[in-house]
Amino acid sequence: MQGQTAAVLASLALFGSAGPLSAGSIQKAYELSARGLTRESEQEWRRLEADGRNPAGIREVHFGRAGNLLNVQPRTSANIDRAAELYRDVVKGDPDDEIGVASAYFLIRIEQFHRGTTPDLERIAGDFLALHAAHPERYFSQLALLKHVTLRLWSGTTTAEKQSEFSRLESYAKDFTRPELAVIYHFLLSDGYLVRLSDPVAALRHQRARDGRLMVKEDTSADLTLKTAELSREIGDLAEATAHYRDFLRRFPTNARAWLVRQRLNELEGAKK
Amino acid sequence: MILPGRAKFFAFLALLAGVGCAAGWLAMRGGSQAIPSATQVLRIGHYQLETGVREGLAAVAAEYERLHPGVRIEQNAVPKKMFSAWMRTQFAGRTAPDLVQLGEGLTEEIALQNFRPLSTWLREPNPYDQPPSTDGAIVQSPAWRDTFIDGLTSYPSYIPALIDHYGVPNALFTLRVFYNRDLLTKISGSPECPTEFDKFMEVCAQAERFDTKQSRPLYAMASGGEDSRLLLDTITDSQMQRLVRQIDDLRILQAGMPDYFALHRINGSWTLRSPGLLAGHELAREYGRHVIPGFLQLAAEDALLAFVQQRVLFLVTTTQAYGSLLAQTNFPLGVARLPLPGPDHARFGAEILGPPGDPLRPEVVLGITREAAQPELALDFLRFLSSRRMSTIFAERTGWFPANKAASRGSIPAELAPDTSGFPEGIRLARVGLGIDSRRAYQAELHRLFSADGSVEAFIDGLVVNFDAGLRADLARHQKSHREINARNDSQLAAAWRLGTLRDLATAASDRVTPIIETQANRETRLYRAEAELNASTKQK
Repeated sequence: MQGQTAAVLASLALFGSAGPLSAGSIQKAYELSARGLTRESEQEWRRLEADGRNPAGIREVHFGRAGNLLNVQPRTSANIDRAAELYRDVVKGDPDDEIGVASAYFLIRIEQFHRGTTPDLERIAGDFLALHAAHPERYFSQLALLKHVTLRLWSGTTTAEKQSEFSRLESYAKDFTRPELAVIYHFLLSDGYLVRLSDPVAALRHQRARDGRLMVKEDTSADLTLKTAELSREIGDLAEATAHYRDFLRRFPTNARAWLVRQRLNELEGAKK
Repeated sequence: MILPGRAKFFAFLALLAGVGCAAGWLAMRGGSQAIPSATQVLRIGHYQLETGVREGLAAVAAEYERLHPGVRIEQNAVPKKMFSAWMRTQFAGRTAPDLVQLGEGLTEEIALQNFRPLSTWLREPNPYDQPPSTDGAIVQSPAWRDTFIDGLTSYPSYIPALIDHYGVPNALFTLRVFYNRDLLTKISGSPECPTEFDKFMEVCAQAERFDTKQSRPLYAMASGGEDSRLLLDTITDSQMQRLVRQIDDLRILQAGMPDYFALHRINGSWTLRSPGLLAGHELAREYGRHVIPGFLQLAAEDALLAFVQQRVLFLVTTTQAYGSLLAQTNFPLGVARLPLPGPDHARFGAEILGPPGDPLRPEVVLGITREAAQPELALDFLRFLSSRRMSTIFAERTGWFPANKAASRGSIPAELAPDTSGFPEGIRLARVGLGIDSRRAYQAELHRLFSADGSVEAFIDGLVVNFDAGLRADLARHQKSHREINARNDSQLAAAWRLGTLRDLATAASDRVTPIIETQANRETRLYRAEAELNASTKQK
């Protein structure tokens, strides 16, 4: 309850008092955007944008409308250009606050996914890294670092190039202070080591570094648990493998792979005897 | 009766008009009757015309109406072939019923624009499914989603690209062999279907030699439409367990995403002549020798008719046919799992690691439409329909296996229950595959496998011509889809994140933000991995 009151007060502070540009109207527009109801949301954002009675809140409206424009169907280059223009306005207003950094992040994403099919991924990876370097504590700058890692994991062709790039990416582990982003970082590195360098030991090291934290999505969490068990088994740590197989059965008893996992456990227990 | 040409033409026109009227009536009858003004009408649109389904829904509806005076529930049962067009028309005209079945014709776009996400309510208990308390102690109710056998992880209940649940299932189905017990006894001396592959093949051969004392021959097996493709996939997939293990570079004990399977083909991890593929199609050819000729073109209804008329001994179809078979057959019905070779089989054992498990396929998945006149009433009815007690009633009327894990299975034979104890579903080439191009290339060559003078070699030779091009086209389509969905998710991410920070300044990531970020991370990994591997394969050439 206290949290809700604080949120309402905070919203009022952000958006001013009642009236068309109230916290309620903004939240309604965001809610519609978050649900993917972009037509309805666009109407709300346009109405809020046209209302000039609260200049202090217009930056928030620009941020909200820009995000919505990225998904208005059919997608047009005019909408994407307008979104970029609105994001630039938000950054200009304050490049260091939360929505300023978030807008800078989405400006890079526009180049990565919203214009054409052949983006300059080298430059985009560099932009993500620079955004993180400028604001290392902000949520969207840590997300930008994650995007940098995602892009660079798949660069390089020779083994030496890949190894060198992986060594550099290892150094970012300490920069993820948001636990949910740290889990994704280790998930990406672990898969990268398996596919690109065929290195199960390094892959398992990243699974262990998750420190037992799983992802929110159940299907990915099931994969993570199983992967840790399989890698442990592969490198001969049978006690750890057994623990993770058991954890899998406890957490995901109806998963299609539960029978296979029970077979694995039987094999391990048979090997002990 | 033989009609002259002109009469045939008019008869055809009359037939077309009749079909049109019948379809129109089926689609319209829900709203055609006068409704007392004080009555709340809840409309359901679905395509389950199988015996017992409408009756099952009607029985549950009657119970709901009894408990909620003033509510009336109507069904619009539309033939499956017309359902996609009917659904799109309803959505375009803003006349969609409150509840519409998810499945036939569903796309991510249709789900997003026309159905309401249900995850919020699925995390709460179902008020109609309170666990029984024996000693007066308070029993904690499970979340609604946890009352289902599959935990609602299967499509289309859960749509991964949209990161949300859009429907609630009311049954689960799987593939089974149905048979005429009397006829089987006459042929083999036993009323039980053999469980071993070799013995099953032997009985098939006996059936083909059996003198029916009639002019028409007896065929061992029939399967048609989607069922025949499901049969083919089940057979070939059973031989690809070792191949799946070989390409499981992510150590997840399954084939993984279809695009990874395609990438493994492109980077040479498997070929069209990999032992699993060859053995899978050898086995399919063995089966095919005993299936009614022309089965690849046969409609599922025609296969069922041949079985009802006792022109075939075994019918391979999904458990959805059970109610219809009970109603239409006048002989004792048997049901069994499809007999497949085991690891110790002399000819087909080498590629098998263990028995295949049944995948959990949800059916009668109903979602609440955005245009629903009474969404709260629709949600309440969905909860009621999927509750333990109502699932039991629905299962009794349909003969379909209930999706609610606590529902009573009553007289439904145990053999109809999906048996997940075995290897998970791996590689499907005939039915789903990676996409439309590779699937078409695959299906176009199947006649070389099953024709009398065909062979696995002839089939693979034909496949070599177009299959890889199809895979590349499908992969390109996947890449495009990854980009588009990622772009869409950016918009949702921005809004969900900001909504979270406005509601609670201390939390930057609400429970809606992290799933979007995880999904994007997964999708981007798939996208950039594919690009890297496609580039590498181009350089190698």
